[in-house]
Amino acid sequence: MWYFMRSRLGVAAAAVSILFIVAALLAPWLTPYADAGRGVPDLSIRLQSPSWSHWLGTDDLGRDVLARLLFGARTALVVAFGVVVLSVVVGVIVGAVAGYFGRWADEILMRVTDMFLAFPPLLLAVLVAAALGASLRNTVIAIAVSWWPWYARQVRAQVLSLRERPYVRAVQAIGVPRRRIIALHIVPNALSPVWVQATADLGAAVLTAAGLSFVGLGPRPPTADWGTMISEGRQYVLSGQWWIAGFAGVAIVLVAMAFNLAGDVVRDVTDPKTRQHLS
Amino acid sequence: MSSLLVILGVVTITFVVSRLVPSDPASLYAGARARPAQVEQVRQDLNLDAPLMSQYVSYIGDLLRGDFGISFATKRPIAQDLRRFLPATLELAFAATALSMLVGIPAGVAAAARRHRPSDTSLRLFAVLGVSVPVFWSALLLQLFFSSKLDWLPLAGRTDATTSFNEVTGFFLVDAVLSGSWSNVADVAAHLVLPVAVMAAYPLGLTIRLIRGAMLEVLGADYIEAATVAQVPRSTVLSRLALKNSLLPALTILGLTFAYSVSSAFLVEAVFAWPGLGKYLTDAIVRVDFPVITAAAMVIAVVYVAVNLILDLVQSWLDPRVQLS
Amino acid sequence: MSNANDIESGRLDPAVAMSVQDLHVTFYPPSGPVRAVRGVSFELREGEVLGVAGESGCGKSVLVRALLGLLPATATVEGSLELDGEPTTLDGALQSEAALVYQNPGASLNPVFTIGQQLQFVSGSTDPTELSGFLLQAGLKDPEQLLGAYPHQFSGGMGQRAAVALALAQRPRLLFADEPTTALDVTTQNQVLELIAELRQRHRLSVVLISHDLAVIKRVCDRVMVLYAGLVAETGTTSQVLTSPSHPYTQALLESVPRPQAVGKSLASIPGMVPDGRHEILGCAFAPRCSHAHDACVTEEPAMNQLAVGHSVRCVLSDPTR
Repeated sequence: MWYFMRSRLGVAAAAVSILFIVAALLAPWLTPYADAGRGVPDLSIRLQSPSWSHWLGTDDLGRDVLARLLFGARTALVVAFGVVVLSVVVGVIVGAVAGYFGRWADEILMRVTDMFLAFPPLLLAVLVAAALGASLRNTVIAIAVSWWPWYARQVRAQVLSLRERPYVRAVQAIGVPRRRIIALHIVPNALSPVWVQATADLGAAVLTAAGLSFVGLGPRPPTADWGTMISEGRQYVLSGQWWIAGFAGVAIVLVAMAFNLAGDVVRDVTDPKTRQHLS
Repeated sequence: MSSLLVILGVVTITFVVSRLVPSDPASLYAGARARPAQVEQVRQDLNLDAPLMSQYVSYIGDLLRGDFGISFATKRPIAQDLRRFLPATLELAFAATALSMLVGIPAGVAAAARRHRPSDTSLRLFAVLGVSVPVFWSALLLQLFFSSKLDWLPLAGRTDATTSFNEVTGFFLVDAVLSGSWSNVADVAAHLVLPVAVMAAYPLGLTIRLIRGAMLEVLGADYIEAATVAQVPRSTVLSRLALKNSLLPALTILGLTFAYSVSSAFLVEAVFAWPGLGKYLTDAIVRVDFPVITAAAMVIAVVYVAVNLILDLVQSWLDPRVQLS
Repeated sequence: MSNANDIESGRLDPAVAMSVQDLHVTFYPPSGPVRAVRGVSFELREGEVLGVAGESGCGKSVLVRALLGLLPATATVEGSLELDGEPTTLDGALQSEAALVYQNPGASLNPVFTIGQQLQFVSGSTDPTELSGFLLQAGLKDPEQLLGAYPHQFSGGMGQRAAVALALAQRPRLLFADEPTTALDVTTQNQVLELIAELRQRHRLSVVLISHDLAVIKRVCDRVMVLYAGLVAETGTTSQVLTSPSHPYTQALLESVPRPQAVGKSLASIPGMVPDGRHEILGCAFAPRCSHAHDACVTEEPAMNQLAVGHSVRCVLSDPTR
């Protein structure tokens, strides 16, 4: 726990990350406007500026912006963990197989990986999301499709170096089956840089998903979604009703930053080298 | 050779993705009110009833002939549209890359030369802020302040409605200069400012940070000190030796910046109604115009691959340690 | 005029090439001043190899960089330097007479230029015969071909020879070598040491060889200077210092050198750490780690005591007045 307290920045990042997760889980109990959060419109209170009753104002359908943000956090949470878990699982399997077995398995898997890496990641996600159709599930799949190759590369490089370590040679020599060696001796050790990347990517997933939503590839209404709030609030920004797009943007920036900085914290905790250095 | 393979991969992925479309392309093309017979006719015209493999082969054949298919929505040949929209996107990407290099490299060198430096925390915070702000959101904010509130810069588009000149190259800044009218140049430049600022913000910060680090590393390297001891003149050390050493990281940054610009272009174009490939792509997404989506995505990916290839070539020419396979 | 025989037999001392008096170096990081070198004096004679020994952090690298004027402007360097009896400034004036060989050829050779280009920059000559001559002198074969090679194509030993060739291309009288063999394996280590010994003979180079390894120093050095915490702990001819070490620190250093006849015994290490120069040192800097330390050691800084001609020690145990 001491490492988390190392810097004020780390504390702030951890606080915002936890706040985000708690807000997402407890959204219905944190606002009196849970129905609005779920998308029920009230056209009698359209586009009200921030006030005591609606702290962050209301949107074009008269829904409380804070409630929409809280329910949007649920969407963001699903996207963040969905994308990262999916791409880490695929990336680790591909990377471990390619790195451990080498030869033609490596050759084929890495060529496939290269093809995916040839696309700008955001563009590939857009392409896949457009093909699958706009929905929350498809957003997760689309982003994961463009991200797994990065994990695969990283894990493969780790496995390649671990494969030659004496302790792996040793278990090979005593005849431990390959699948067991990979699962027990190699993958766990290859994962530590992956955790750092994965933590930072939780925020990047929220950011990327917002981009998809912005071009109309986000979850379908009435699901609350931060990116959609920006793209729908956009037309009101220039006429002075800045709070819909404005606060949704602030939420994205805060969460993206928090997880990015939390990645540093995870690096400090998981990397014995920095730990030693600190003590 | 390996880049050709990668491009083939890009084409293959776009093909596979385009056949994932849950809705039937033929009925999309024929329109919502088409009779089944018309849909069947379209299916035959577009060769959509052929086996997937032969569709793939003819798809590649068409691409090699420069035929990108026909837009479902406008029924126009896509190749024509691409030719019109590509320069607009490249103009943005080049301008953003140029801006972050021209400002970022001197600023990075200056930061390296200065003894006092901002704390690691503030540098880190600034860098993280850079990656965490969605470009389409910061674009909105800039529009709000500089166009709507202050009225200093145009809100959107590439030119004012009243401005007109010959589109020779498709790069409006060049075309405006060729037209010989300063008011044209000023108008085009004013329209470039906001989108380029948005796209350059993150790469600029990245450039300053990486160049600063690279310069500190190069200037602190043993081989530079060794040259000093050997009484190689300071000017030669800086202009001939250190410069060549720092070009390599600068080149890497150039690649990162361009890649970032190309892939963020389509979000920025959507906000600024910039008639480029990105806007073409996002409009097509709204209309579920599938041939356009795949074609635009493919062209952007090919540009991305081509730029990376060129950078690899330059890098191997500069750095003897890099061997091209 | 003296000749090599006279030097070896010690009958006739060659002229003093370089003399350093009372050199002090202080750095000023935010955490407070650090006195890295605290008053070092020594002489280097023509054609002599002087070994500078000590653990990392003892000030040996800082010493050389201070003499060559390579320290950042934020460090202060005080003391006097004479070349052939002529006072010289410490602002890099020595660079015209000296060359420096680094620990790691991978870092001291510029990766993006060929060896030929680098020799050209340094020597100012464009004549390929002359340039390949430097490589030949450094013991490299096929020098004409090597001129077009890049450093990454070299093995460690070849790289260090190329680094020596670059040093020779500066036509120096003084050669500073900062741990020149530390990054090499044992066989190439020996070859590079032989090269240094040979160059000293052939070019009458005066060499300052920095090493933490007394075995290396024993092989090529005429005299040794052992540094501890920015001060000379012991100095003398190599045989004086290595056969009858009189400073407890020198003794400890010697015990930590692996010897074939001591196989099976555990290798001694010196307990504790080198003081970081941040705090003012009272008494003898080595006292906290010294097994012979007593009260006097922590109250007063010991003076240099001469034990024999050329052999001095900074330790109260050798103080004749006690």
